[in-house]
Amino acid sequence: MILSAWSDKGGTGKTTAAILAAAHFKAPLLDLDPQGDAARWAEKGGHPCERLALESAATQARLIAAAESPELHVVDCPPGRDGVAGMAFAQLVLVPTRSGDADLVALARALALVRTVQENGNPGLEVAVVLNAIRETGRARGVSQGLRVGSGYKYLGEIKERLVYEEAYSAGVGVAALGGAATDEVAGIMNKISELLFPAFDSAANTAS
Amino acid sequence: MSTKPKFDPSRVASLLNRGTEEGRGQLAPAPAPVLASVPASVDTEAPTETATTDTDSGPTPPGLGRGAAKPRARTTAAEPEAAEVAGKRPITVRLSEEVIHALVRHQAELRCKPGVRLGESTIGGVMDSLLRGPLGLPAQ
Repeated sequence: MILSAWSDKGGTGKTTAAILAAAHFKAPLLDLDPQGDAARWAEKGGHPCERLALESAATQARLIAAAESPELHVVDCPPGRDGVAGMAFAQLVLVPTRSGDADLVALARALALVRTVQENGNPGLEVAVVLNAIRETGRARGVSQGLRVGSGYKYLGEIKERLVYEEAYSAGVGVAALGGAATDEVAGIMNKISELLFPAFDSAANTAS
Repeated sequence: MSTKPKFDPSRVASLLNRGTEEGRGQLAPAPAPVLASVPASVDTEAPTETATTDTDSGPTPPGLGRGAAKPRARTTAAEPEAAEVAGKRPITVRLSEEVIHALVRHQAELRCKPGVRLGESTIGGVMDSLLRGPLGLPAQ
């Protein structure tokens, strides 16, 4: 089983989303992004992580094996077309977006690409969108409102711009280890992910204690 | 018994491999892409450059009837891939005509109200246009 963090644009929070999910679900990471930021976070915290090369047959085989495994794997993808392989075999693709115009147009492109994958062998691929690194502005509220009324994806909510996410990355831990308001914020989003990934089970059973 | 198609990793792999071999052209979204220049930001205090579309021969997109200037004729962009530019400078993206019209409608509204910051309802409406209409996603 694969949960992928992917978007069609850089700087949206894919790696942040991936490590938050890996920490929350205590799931191994597959780092497909050549930048290797998720792998560095995993190394700091002693979290299981494999780095995979883009566009290799071995990577494709590894992703298929992970997709067919009952164990959850979290894949951190590079942005854009390069990262499509990382989400194409997933059960759920988490698409973080920010609230700028270019971000929203990229989100529309990403949803169209996901639909292409759904129509080509992965009809069960679910899509979840999270609005990342927002501030308390009218624009952010408006974008959130717009995302809530859209369909064809599950809107998970917002992650506010907080220093604690950088601190958690530096420490190689999830935000729950540092406490504060972000803990509840992330737990709410992860519970929604859990409901999508494990619909037959109580979401609490799949979260870290 | 469910008739829903099942996960077929070999078909997905085939899609990916085809996309790789053909410059990933096979992974393009279903609507025929059209190159257009659109503004990088709508959250502005002053009117910005208008998105371009082929309105010379077609009907005026809705929302342009309140004294707004018509968009200029379509220009041909040389770069085949999306180029994102920070700030409020124009960006070049691949969009379907419906997306372009959604953005043009939005930009026209901006031109009607120079100096006015956009409210939630306007941005929500653009999001709705972008995410629901152009992609053919069913309404809730």
